[in-house]
Amino acid sequence: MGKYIIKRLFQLVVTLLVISVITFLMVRLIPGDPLTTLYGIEDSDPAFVEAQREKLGLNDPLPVQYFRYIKGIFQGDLGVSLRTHKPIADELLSRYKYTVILAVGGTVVCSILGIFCGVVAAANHNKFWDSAIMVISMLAVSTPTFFLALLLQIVFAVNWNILPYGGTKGWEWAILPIAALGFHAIGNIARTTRSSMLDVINQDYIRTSRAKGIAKWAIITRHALKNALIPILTAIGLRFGVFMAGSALVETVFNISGVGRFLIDGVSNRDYPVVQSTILVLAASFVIINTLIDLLYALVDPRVKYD
Amino acid sequence: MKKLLTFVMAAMMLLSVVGCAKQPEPAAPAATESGNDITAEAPADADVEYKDTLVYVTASDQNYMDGQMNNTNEAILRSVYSSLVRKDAATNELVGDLAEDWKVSDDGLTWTFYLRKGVKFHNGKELTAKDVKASYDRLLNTEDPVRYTSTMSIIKECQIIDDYTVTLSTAEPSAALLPNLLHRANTILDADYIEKYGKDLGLTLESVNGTGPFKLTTWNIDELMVLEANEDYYGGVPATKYINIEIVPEASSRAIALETGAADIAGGLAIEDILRLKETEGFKVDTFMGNGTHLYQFNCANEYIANTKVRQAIIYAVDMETIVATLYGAKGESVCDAPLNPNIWGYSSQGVAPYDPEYAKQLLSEAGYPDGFEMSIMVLPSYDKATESAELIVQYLKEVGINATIDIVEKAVFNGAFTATKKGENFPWGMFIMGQGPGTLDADGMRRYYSIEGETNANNYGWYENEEVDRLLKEAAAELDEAKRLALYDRIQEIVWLEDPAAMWMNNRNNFYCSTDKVSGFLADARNALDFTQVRVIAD
Repeated sequence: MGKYIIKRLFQLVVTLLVISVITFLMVRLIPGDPLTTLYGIEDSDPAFVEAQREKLGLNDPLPVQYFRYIKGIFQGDLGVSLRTHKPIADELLSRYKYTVILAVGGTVVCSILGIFCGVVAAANHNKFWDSAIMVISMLAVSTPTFFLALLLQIVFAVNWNILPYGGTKGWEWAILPIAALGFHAIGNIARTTRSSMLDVINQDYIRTSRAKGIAKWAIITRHALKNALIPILTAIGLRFGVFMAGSALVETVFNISGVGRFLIDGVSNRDYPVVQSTILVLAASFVIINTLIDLLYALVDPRVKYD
Repeated sequence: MKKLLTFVMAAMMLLSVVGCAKQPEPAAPAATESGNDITAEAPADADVEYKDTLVYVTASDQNYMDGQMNNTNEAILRSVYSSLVRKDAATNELVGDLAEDWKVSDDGLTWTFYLRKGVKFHNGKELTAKDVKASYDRLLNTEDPVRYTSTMSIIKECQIIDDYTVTLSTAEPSAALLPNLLHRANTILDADYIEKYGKDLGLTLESVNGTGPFKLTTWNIDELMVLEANEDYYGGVPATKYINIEIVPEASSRAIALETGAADIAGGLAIEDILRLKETEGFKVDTFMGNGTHLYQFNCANEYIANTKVRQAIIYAVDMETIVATLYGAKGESVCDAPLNPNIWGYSSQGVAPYDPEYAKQLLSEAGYPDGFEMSIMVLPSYDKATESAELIVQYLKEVGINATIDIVEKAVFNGAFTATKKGENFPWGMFIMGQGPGTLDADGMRRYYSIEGETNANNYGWYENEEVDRLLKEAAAELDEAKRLALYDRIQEIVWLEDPAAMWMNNRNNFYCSTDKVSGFLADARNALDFTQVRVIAD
């Protein structure tokens, strides 16, 4: 186990290095440049813009800029925003919690409801509830998140006025964004659960248990679900990563100053260091979560061994 | 590996989505200090209880709380800082702000300003000539320029006469000096803060120290600004103690904030929301005339567009009056009848552009393109109904044989292409959407749009060249006789409007703010500088 974790940690570093190169190049491939975006071209003194460019090191050759960035990362310095001149690490630290709350909340909601729906559908294979749940899953998967977010705002904030429309005051703020985020993924988890469960239900040992007269729900929850869990865990782990990286839309609609919105603002402003470092932090979160999920496999299925 | 790939793909998708995402519409550069007289008190009803905090929701934050650097908009800047002069909205006259009085020397080169005594910065320090000089020295330093150094190159230097008297001098006699002082770059900073913070002044809360009606007391970037009434303000204490400025990037969320009571005033709403709220009980829409126009600029470096007859043909081919009535009529915006918005000093109506497709075809034949040609029209999606307007223009152009395609790009892409090109070489668009409106509210602003010379042509995006216009612009700037100056501007507008067109103008822009009907006394000037000094909200 220990060896395995060390191996994974090594992989983590390599992965992040690869991602750092990709994002470093990718942000520079987007048309537009940070200084003309930041200061505009209207009325800007060209000498001033040039002096800023020099000061921020944007005139240096790309490899020089990259190694300066990577050197900073290894010293725990995520760089400074071109726009606000503030350390990116401080910004991320204050914003990370909102995105984590949304991602965890969304994952919990979609896991509980998704697994429940998937199990019910598998247990009622080809019957009414199966079809009903699959139709609802399809609906959930194909509803755009921002549309659902606006819908929730109008119903719960404007019409009924029982929840805040946005912001991060109190604890109520998280309910609508989590619902908007989670609902979309329910369909995905439900479908994965259903097909994984159907595979297991057709196995001999399930038939044997049934022949022994064990109650249907006991079979499904204790024997079938436990064995069907690995693909479901994988789907959930991926979902969590998608939530971390993809909560930007929900954060924008609900006016939450999370990491996603920080990233969007960074791209709009062509704030290279912000984009690079934010993606790196998100990627690290993603890889770590997936490593933890892999470790969970061993708990769920004793046949999985890591050494 | 698969997971890594999934992540990278997701990240790329996100990047490509936000790469095309909306940016706040470039604030049309507009003119002067907000409309109302700062010394006039709005009547407060003694029986009514008012809230001590007003919440205003808007799309984007200020990038710098420093007028010499700020290029987002002047929405909040002028609540915190003051300048030597400002424009009185009631009379539309230029009046003193920090300067009580001024005079110009006989040779027209030196302007002396007598400062108001006893003006305090928000940290309690008294404002003296030293602060004015430090501000102008920083602004005019070509060795170590700030953003607006070249814009303000009309001013040569600032000198101290005594603690309460300063002079500004120009290289040539200039009628444009006073209106140029209305530009946001002229907000007066604290000399000590300039020394302490250098170019980082205005990036953090601690580095902001002004003399305006409100102190900035909280600033969480992209989230919240809190303005607190300045008890020592020389123009009288503002009516409401706290103004909370909340940044809500999504337009529909801003409308919802207003409807749920989370906000009192919302700016930058979509036209659909504005029209809906207008009809909804409990809400009202305040319309303030802007200083700007929306237009399609001609790229005069384009092989077809370079021909004056082609440009004229395009104008004759398009029924702009109908387009504006269709797209902007509901908002109450009018079709342009001059290159300048009527709110600009020096505006002179040239009549709505003629619509005559037959004559357009004739002009095209004369230009040597009887079968038309192909070109690309650039639009920025952040401009209101930009794509719709381009679609209509494309239809009109098709009827005279010009085959135009629409290219929707992000502002950063346009800026990049503009910076990369030399005099329009390889610039991909024949026409492109723009907003114009001089921040000085004076026709002198046209120098930046049409002149050929290096330093003053920063806004000449279309590489427009006309020697007569160039000469007249210079003459007008130096002309101290008002009537003669107006005549010169009239002629310039005549030329760029249709004689040798620089652009195809579309609509005069208005600024809209929606609020609950409990709000009174809110004002925005033509440049979208907000005036919160007299605003009040009735308590529930």
